[in-house]
Amino acid sequence: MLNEKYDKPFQWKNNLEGLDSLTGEALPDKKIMWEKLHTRLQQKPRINKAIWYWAAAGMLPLFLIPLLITYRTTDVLVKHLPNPKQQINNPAPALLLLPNEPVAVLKARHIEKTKLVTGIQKNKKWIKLNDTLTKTDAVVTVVILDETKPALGANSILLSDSAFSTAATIPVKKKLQVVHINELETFPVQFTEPVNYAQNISGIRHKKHKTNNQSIATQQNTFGFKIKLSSKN
Amino acid sequence: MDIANLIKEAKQGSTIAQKCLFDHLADKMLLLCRRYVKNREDAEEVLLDGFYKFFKNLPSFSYQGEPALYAWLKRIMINECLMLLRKKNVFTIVTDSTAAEIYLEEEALNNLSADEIFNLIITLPVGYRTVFNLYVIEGMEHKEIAALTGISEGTSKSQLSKAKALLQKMLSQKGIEYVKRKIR
Repeated sequence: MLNEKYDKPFQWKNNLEGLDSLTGEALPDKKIMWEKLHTRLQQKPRINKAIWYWAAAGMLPLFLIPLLITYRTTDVLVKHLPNPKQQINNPAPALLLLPNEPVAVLKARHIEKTKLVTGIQKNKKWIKLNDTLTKTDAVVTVVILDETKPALGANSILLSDSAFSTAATIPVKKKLQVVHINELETFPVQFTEPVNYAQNISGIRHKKHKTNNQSIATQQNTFGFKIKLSSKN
Repeated sequence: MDIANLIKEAKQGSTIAQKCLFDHLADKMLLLCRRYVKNREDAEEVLLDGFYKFFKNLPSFSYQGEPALYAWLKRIMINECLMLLRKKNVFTIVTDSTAAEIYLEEEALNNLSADEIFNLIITLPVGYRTVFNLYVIEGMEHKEIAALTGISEGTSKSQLSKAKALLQKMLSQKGIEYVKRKIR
């Protein structure tokens, strides 16, 4: 009696659980469904793509860290390169190699091959240390070389086109024509001063009239002085 | 039909045993899926996914009687249904924790056929239906329902009370006079 009372509220649930089909509704085609299921069961398990993504993400630092180390080292070496101005004045040895330091190499685009390149070995070109570069406005390539390799340190340096070299261009220096001061006296100098500039130097105009017939070199010195005066204003 | 033997053979990879198990359990499971997923095509898809997982994980299952097997398979199917519903974002329910607790006169349901109860349940809105199925029929707690569906406990309670109220209303519309609405 007690059990009947207890079980009665759950009777509808049991009816619902025991329901196999709905009246007036077509039964599902179990044969087709089984074929679909069987096909899926026979297939090889799909490899989870996420595993590959995680593996790739894990491998990424292995590639990035050497690249970063290489990049930083080359950055430091670029700072140690000789001043381009010094090279212009004294272009003759292309490089100075210090025995206990990592080697930095200058590579020129317009190197005379007969002089500089002494040998080619598997895409590596070698030049002698004391050879000169024909043009100072060359592309500079920095190559990190292993200090422990004595072959590279003694008489030759490496010209490399490999991927780990870093290139930087030296700004092109304009060569001014050298003219003797006496040659300039034959040409009458026409100078028209800018309007704003003229206002600034109006107080010392009389000095300009005096120097009007002088050489350009002299005028440049004079105007250099005037520029200093205007900058104060 | 000896279910224990079928399970044993299915574990060993027998296709025939697997097919027998599928034929034996598919109808009930399809109706279970349809209680959660109203659409028949979706329910069939969920059924196949559920059976796929069932057969794949069968080697790790230790058979302890048919009710245990049925409960395990039911749980797989419910999880699959909830996954589909979550994919469809049906649980984006506005939290309403101020819902009144409504007592459903279950004796009224006892006088209905299983078909009628089934049809009443599937006419409920998806949020009400899911919480009602999980709480009333499967016997889960609100905390568990909240974890499964991703809604708060308060929302689960309010959805349940609304589901009960709607069911009461539908029952009274059916002309069942002895169904009384009680708000405690």
